[in-house]
Amino acid sequence: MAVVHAEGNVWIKQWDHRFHMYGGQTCSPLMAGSWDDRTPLHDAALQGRLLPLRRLLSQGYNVGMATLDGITALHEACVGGHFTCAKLLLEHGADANAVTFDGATPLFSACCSGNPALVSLILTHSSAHHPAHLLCSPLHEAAKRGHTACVELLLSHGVNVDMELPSVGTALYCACEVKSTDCVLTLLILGADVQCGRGLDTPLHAACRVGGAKEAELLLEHGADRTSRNSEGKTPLDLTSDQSIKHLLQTAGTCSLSQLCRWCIRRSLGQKGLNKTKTLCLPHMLHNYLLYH
Amino acid sequence: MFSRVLSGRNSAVVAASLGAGALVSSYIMTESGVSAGEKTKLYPPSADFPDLRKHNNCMASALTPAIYGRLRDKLTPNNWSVDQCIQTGVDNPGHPFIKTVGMVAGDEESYEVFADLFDPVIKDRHNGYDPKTMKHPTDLDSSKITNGMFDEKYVLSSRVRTGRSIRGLSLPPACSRAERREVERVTVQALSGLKDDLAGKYYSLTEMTEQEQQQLIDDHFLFDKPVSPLLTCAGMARDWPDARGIWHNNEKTFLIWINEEDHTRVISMEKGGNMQRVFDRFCRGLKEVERLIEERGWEFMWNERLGYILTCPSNLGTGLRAGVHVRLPILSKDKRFNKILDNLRLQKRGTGGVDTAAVGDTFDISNLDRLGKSEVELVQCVVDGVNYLIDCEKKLEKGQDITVPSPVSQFKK
Repeated sequence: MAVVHAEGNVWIKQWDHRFHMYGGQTCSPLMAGSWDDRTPLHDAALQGRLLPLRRLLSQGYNVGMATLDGITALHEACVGGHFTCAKLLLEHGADANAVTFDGATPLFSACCSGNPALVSLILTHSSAHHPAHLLCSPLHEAAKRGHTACVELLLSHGVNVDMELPSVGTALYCACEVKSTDCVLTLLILGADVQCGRGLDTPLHAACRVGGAKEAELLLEHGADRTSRNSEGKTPLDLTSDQSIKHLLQTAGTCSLSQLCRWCIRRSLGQKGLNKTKTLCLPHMLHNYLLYH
Repeated sequence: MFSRVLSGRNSAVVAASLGAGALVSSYIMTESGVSAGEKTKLYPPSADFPDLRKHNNCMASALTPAIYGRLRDKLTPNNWSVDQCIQTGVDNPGHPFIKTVGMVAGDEESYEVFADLFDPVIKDRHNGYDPKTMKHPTDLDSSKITNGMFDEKYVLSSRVRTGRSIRGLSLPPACSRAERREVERVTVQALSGLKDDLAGKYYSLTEMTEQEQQQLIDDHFLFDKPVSPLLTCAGMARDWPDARGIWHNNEKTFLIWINEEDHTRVISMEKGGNMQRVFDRFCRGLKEVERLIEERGWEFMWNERLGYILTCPSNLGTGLRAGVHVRLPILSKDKRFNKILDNLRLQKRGTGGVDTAAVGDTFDISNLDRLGKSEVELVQCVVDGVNYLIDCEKKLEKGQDITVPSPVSQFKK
């Protein structure tokens, strides 16, 4: 018994020694190259190695150990998309709101890897409205990478679907730029404003610029204005060289009154209203009409 | 119950350590029995080729079965093999967003014997520098630097660092204890000959007192056994702390680490924005150390294509990193910041709280390149780049707009 305790103490003392020697960092910043500051904990978390991760934590390794750039093991577990490792780290007190030097949170990193279970886990431990998200937005990252399930999760936790980042645009704009059809559809159905893009550039401009015919069609079905002009005075038609998109833009007919009413109501309700609409006791026909079911 | 569980876990840890030790011993014994030059293996290279499907490093990008087939059975005069060079890159797949080098040299000859693999890795890592056709310029004349004084309202400290390897002795991944001790002996002997503002004292990791250790910690000078898997898989931390140590001058502005990742790591630094003086001390110190080493019949590893040679291919050429801790609270929030840094060939890193507690606004800004440009060119690049960043910060403070500079040209001449 005494021997076992002594042994445990030796391990804890070893890790604590390093932690205090470098003032809470993983190594001396004086000569450090870009990889000197990655610890075995970071490595195990990034690669999803649960056994060494568990062992290191049980040996007293400080779960909050950060690299010079502020990257914690939880960030790495999220980058690697490893749900079980992230869960273990959180159980040992990892900070789910830790921000790296580049402004990334574990939620942002989880959206990079696109594991919905992991995103859900992080959302229950962290704030969905962290100010760091204005620098590195999880929603935009998920949209850029076409991680539709993550987009849905973020929006269901109250992330503003129309948040526009300077020089990046809205999530819908990002999804159009990378021709992520599923993502575009999901964002539109969940209440994204079809006209909000990047400044005067609308999502339709982005879709036309990159030749996204399916995305353009979806945008038009949800009320995108074919005639809107961007800061250079160009309409979406001016930006495309794709014949099928040109045809689509030129032949789009007058919308039915039913369609116009739906757009008007949805725009009035906004994202929050649409979310609450699901909980109302509406007739199925009306429910399906408003929510595109 | 509780004690039994603990006992089981720790016993397993102890057993694993013993097993690892046995494996290492048998590996070393196997190696020591072979003759120099080349050896025959039971299996063909195709059966030995590593699985690199999930890897993101320069080595994995460059290594092909054909290259591996040509190199696998070759050995350097110090019996170092290509498998030993690439082990760290095989064991560490790398980060999805950050590309590592993924290989190390065991000795100077590695770069020549395994050039088929090292050359494409060097080209990949050093922005297109081709060791087969290009020559690396070396220039340690600090008087050529212009505008080397920064506005100290923004720049908190300045430093220039590099490494040097002693020719004829294996590099840290491969060296024997005797070679490592020789590195320490040669270097410490040379350093004892430094005079005036460069004069100082050596602290061996095995022999320093607790007071000395605490002082080095307080000065942020001390280094500990590496734990990064990238370094340990390369063999960097063997026999720790044998023959490791820190030397610094009395003024604490010139520092040398011995036998950490390279034979020697050298840094000149001081508080404030006087990069001119920092670089001047750096050049004087390096040239003086080199002169003292040559007096005793040794020299640094250097050749005209790769410049100074260090353990990691990312540090060839100058091996130089000139940096400042600079406060840029407004510019760092601008979306163009990263683009500006990229075009100026600069990189940013966290300071880890050194120089200021406000880590969010203070950055360690240093040069991206190491090879294909001289020391003077790289330091001038940092000086011009940091001055540009400070100008941008000042403009943003006044509410004026800034512009992204055009990219710095590559490999003049």
